[in-house]
Amino acid sequence: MKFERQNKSQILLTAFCVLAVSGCGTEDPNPVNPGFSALNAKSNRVVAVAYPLAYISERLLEGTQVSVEFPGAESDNPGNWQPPEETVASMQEADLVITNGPGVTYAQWLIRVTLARNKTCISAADFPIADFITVNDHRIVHRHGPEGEHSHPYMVPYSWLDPAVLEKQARKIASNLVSVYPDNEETITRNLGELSEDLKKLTRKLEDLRRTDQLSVLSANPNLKFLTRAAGINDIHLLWLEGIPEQPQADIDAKSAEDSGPDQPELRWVETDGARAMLWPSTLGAAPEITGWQTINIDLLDKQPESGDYLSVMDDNIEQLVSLLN
Amino acid sequence: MRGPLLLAWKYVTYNRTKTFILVACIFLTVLLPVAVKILLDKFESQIVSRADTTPAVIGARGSDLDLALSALYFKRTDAGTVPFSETATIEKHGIAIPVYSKFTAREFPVVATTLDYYAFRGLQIAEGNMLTTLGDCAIGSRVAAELGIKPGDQLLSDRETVLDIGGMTPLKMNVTGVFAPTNSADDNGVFVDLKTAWVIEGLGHGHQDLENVEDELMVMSRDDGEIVASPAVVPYLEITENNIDSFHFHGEMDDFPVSAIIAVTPDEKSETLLEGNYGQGNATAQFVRPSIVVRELMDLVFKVKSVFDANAVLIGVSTALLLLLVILLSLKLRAREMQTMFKIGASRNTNAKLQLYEMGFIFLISGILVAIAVRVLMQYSGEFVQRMLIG
Repeated sequence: MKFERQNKSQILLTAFCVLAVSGCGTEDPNPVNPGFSALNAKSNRVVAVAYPLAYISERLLEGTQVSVEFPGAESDNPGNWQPPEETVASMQEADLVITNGPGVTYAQWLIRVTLARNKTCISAADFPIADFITVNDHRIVHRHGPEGEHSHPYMVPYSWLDPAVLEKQARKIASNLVSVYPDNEETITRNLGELSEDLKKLTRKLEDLRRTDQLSVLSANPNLKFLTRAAGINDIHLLWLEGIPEQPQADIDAKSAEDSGPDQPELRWVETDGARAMLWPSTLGAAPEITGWQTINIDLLDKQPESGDYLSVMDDNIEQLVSLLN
Repeated sequence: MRGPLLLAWKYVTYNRTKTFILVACIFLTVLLPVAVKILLDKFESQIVSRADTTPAVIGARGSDLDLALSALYFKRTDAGTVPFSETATIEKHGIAIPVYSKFTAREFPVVATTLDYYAFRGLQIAEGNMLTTLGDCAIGSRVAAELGIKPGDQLLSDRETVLDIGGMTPLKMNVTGVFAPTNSADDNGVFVDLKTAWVIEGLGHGHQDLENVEDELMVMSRDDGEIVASPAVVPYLEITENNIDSFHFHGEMDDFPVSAIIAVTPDEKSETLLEGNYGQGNATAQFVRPSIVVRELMDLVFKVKSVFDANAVLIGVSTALLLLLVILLSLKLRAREMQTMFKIGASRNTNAKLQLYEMGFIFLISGILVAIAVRVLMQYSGEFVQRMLIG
């Protein structure tokens, strides 16, 4: 009888404890919003709108299950093409679309397509104003629309030509990737460290080129300014953004006269064998013969290189400057 | 059927006018409050369920209700707009889904939003494809049915007013897909990208390349790389493969307007922190929980309904008294008929049964009619309420 009473008490006590514990377990003080979870379904795919951004993303995601795509590889002009509908639809399914962002807008087609806002990584979002490069002598003034007269200065988009700037972008991309794939934080952080080291090596090479007596070069267009600024070179640019003009020589002579006027400071041009140096962006195709000027090809990394990668191509670009300045 | 029951039935069917009037009296008196209750319950369940699935809305300071209705039902209200940059504040705490519903296309609201909206509301394309490009639209099932539009067709946005000849230029949108029906306000929407709505508004446009234009009337002046366009430059009315490259926006997108921003936070803590941001005196926008706003609206509706219920009770009582009067008068009129019944051997009890059965039949017919009406009402109340909400 005594045993039975004791047994009953034990059963009651156990039942009370089970109820109490189960009651505690079901009450989540901060429950997850189901709507938020639905918006965060993963496809383990990341899309980059420029080759260097794709390279950075691949390096950061090395050793993870996430794949990186660069749809612009299909195009001759990844910065200003119109992706087919199926490509846009595929981009809509990606977990993250990695872009440069305002001020260094490379993919001009982004404003013409529909992509998920919360899945867009603006890698230049944390840039200080000083990082951006504005070209004020190229602009179109409009006098229609509700805004009245206004103009658009040209903002140089090729931020990756300065490895130090690209390193900032890599940090931003890494932080976005960690938010999307928190399980891969350790791998991404480790990869970021290794990538930063590689980019710093390029930065140091460019910094070594800086001199106290600033030398000048002529550029076919302003798109090389991130590279020339990092190397401490005075970049006098032409405005051949759409292609080579019919009379390039006349254009160059006019520019030289303008920058060598009596009220202008004297320029120290980089010269090789009596010919002045003119930097030639790869996007303009083959350089024509221009009397008195020697053209030096610089790869803008618009497209995935046929051999090598971002680091090796940038190294080649810097080597060209090294041989030019030395 | 025989005996008093048969006699009562014969009486009811013979005196059709009297039966019709009595049945109509009972039918209408019972149906009216029942119908109001059904419609109100449906209204409440629909408005509350949509509000409950929309955790928070941020928009211009002013009426809570206008803001909630603008975000939930794309109502064109006087709630004002907030700049697109407000999404950045929300994104510190969760996901921001901007909605801009200022325009219409053939009187259906043009709902400009981001892709997140479709995932958030669970909208699935039933026919065609999701919008991908500037100028594309995907339409709700009711828009497709009522306008007879299918993917591949075009839909022109409406002018803000008929007399606005020199104002906003309508845009011919390309229909890429039709959403599966959801029995919600989404069935009534013409969904576009935010940028497409800003093009309709005139904040962005496409026109001829002014650097290479042949007609010099298009250019007011050219000076040192600067080109001033003349008013003769007319923006394109539709976005095609050939002209899409020329589309651009004027001004900062961060300053462009949106009607409301739906905030979806990961948890309650983030939502509370977000609410705190907008609780300060200098906040330029307001935070609204649609579920609370809608429940406040329903409280008001139920207060009005209680007055209506009291009215229905009074009408019921007066109808019952009227029926009683009709029966009493009828008994007087039928006194000779009752005498005849006595003479042929019918008891007082049989006469009473006869009266009772007659009324029973009238109530039965009324009841059947009310049941049929309620069934029909239940079937179509969802659609009716939806139309009422969407307007």
